[in-house]
Amino acid sequence: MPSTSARDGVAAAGAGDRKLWKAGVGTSLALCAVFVLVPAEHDLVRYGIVYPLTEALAVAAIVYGVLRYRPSAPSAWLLIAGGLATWLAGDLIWAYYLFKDESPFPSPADFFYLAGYLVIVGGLLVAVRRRAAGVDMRSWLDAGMFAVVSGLFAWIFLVEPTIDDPSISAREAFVSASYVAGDLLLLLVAVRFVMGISWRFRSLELLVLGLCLTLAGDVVFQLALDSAGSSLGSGDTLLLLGIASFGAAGLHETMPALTEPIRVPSKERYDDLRLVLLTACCLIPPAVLLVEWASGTGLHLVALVVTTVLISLLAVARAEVAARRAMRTAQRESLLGSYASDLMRADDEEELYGMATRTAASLIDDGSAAVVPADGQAAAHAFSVPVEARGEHVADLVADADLLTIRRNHYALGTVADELSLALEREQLRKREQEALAALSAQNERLLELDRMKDQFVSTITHELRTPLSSMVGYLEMLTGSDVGELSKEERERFLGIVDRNCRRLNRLVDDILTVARIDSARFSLERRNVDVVRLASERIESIRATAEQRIVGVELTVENPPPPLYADPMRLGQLLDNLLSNAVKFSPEGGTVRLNVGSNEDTVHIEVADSGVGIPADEQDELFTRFFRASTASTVQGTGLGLSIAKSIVEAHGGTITVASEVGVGTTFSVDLPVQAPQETAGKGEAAR
Amino acid sequence: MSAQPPREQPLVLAADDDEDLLGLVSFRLERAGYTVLLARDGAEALEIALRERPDLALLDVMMPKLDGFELTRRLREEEATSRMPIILLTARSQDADVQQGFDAGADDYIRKPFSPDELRARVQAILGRR
Repeated sequence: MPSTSARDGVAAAGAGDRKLWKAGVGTSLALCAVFVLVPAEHDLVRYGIVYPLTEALAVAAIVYGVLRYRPSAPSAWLLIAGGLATWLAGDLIWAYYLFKDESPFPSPADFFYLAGYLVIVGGLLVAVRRRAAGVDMRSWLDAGMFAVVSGLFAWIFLVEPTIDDPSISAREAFVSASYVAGDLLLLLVAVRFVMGISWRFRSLELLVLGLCLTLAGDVVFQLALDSAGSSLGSGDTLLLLGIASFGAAGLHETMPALTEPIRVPSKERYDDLRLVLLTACCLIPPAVLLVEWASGTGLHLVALVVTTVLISLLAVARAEVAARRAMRTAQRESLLGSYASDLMRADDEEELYGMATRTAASLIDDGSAAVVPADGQAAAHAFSVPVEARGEHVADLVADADLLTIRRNHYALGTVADELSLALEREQLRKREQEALAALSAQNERLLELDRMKDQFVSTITHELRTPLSSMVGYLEMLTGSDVGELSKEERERFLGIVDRNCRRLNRLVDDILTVARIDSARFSLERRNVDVVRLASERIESIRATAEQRIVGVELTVENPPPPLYADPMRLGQLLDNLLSNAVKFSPEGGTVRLNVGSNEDTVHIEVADSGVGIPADEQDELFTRFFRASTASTVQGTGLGLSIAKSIVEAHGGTITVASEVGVGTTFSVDLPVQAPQETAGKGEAAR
Repeated sequence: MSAQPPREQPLVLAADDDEDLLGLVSFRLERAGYTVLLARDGAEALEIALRERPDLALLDVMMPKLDGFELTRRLREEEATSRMPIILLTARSQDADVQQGFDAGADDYIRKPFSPDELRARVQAILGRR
């Protein structure tokens, strides 16, 4: 997790910091080299100057590091520095004895040396508490087993020989044993420190190196003391290198990592190795027993029994910890399992968020969890992980609980967020699919409706064309070559009138169809000239009169404010009037009247066609000018549904407007306003209307 | 029909929403010696047919209120007109329409535009058969 590893990291260090670190390391190594190279007889130089100088340098380096890099809990580093300073004090005392050419054992220097172990152990404990907060007991138990086995060897090879040695007094033996105990304590904490938590920072690596060198140096020192009693060189060199390592660790830029809590548990890659080592630890006491029994050197029975009991106790405790851990894992698995299946059943995003929140909350029992919008505030929580849907950061799963709980459930919480992400994606896809389906079916519906309208149109057009044609053909047959017998003059004239009327009707219909085709192909153009609207209106009234009278409908023309000549297409205007008038006549009841009113004001010619017909429902008036649309009240009257759409196209081509006012059962009035255009402006030009 | 008293002139019902066509049909049939009843929509035609029980009905298919197909079905359902010959008159000429007409119970089918003489001949043929 980037957010947490950033917190594990440390303040940015500059090139100067790195140079200083290198200089410190170089100086320490140089001092160590001096210590090794200076001949053994110059003890005072080696132990009185080089040794304290190295220690002082290490203490200074750590203190500087604390001041420079400001770790969140400086006490760990300060305690380590304190331990080194305590050793420094011991060395100064020892230098005093060297100066006086004495080497008492035990001496006050030993007190400081021993105290130094405790102080360093204290520093490591602080580090373990901070950095490894929440890591379970297993690491302590494992470190314990390791220390117990080491203790067994220490007892057999270091402590017991000292006790048994008659040349060594009880006091001396006790102090020697105290060193061993200090080392074991340091070993315990050091093993605990490196186990189960990530220590892979340069500073921490150096710290571990320092611990190893210190322990190794002590072992070498003790063994050398035991066997030779005087050759102290290599053990002290290791110890000195260890001290230099501590200093280098404290000066390194990554030093604050020592006390940074780790929220993300490291992947436990070494579990198998640990098990092998632990098994080995358990097998060591019986192995030692076997070897001692076989070689007949005498048995360390008490030590072996104590060790075995301790290791058994630790093993039992470890099994218990492992069992509890397994139980928690099983509970988590079952929670996550039912969560995953719940997600499959949910059907909206809110529900998904709710499930994720509930599952996260039950994972961390005492804490609180929530799915919050992705607003950048997530980092303020103890735990946060982004929830993404189709590559987009849509929310954060956040949780607040103690560090141990967070660490234990880190991966489980991550799984909750991941599965929520997947579920959200699925949900989005499902929604999108539904929308697409709805859109498709709506489109299908529209297409079907269009198809139905087209069929209706073809059928209507056929009927509308054939009806006048039938009259024409039929009456003409009777007039020319029928076996109907003699026709009177009046009959002949009436028949010719009918043929003539139907010719016109057919013509008008063909005009309408052609007009629609023109409008569709954008070839609808106006041939404008000056038109006398009043004359045009009275012509159209006369042409509709015969049809109207046949239906017993009256037609009237009224003129208010005779308009000036209108620069317009006379044929189209005629078509407009025909459409409006024939509609009005068609929808008028017997005895009704159709009124055509022509008027004008300064810049507008106003034409109104009013009938006393069936009227048009208000909710259908918007659609009235849509092609093929026929009002519900028009069902008893034949028609193509083209007339009004053509009327609108003609009016708009002239830059005018057409509106309708209608009341069901009362009548309908169409109002046309046409702007008066000065003829010279556009004289001679045929304009495209669309 | 057996209950009906014999008429001097056969009675024909003509239904069409177009006044001119109605005039054409009635003129031609009256000249041929029929009495012609006129209806301008399907509903009116149904009412006249049930009231007057004509000897034959000439029905336009596309009529307001009740179209020719539906009207034919209704007339076939009525006891009084179930056996009355029906000729459908229509501008629709698709085969499916012709089939629909016969399915509805029509006896004959005349397409528009038609010859008045042919119309008379068909009417005569049907009424003469009886």
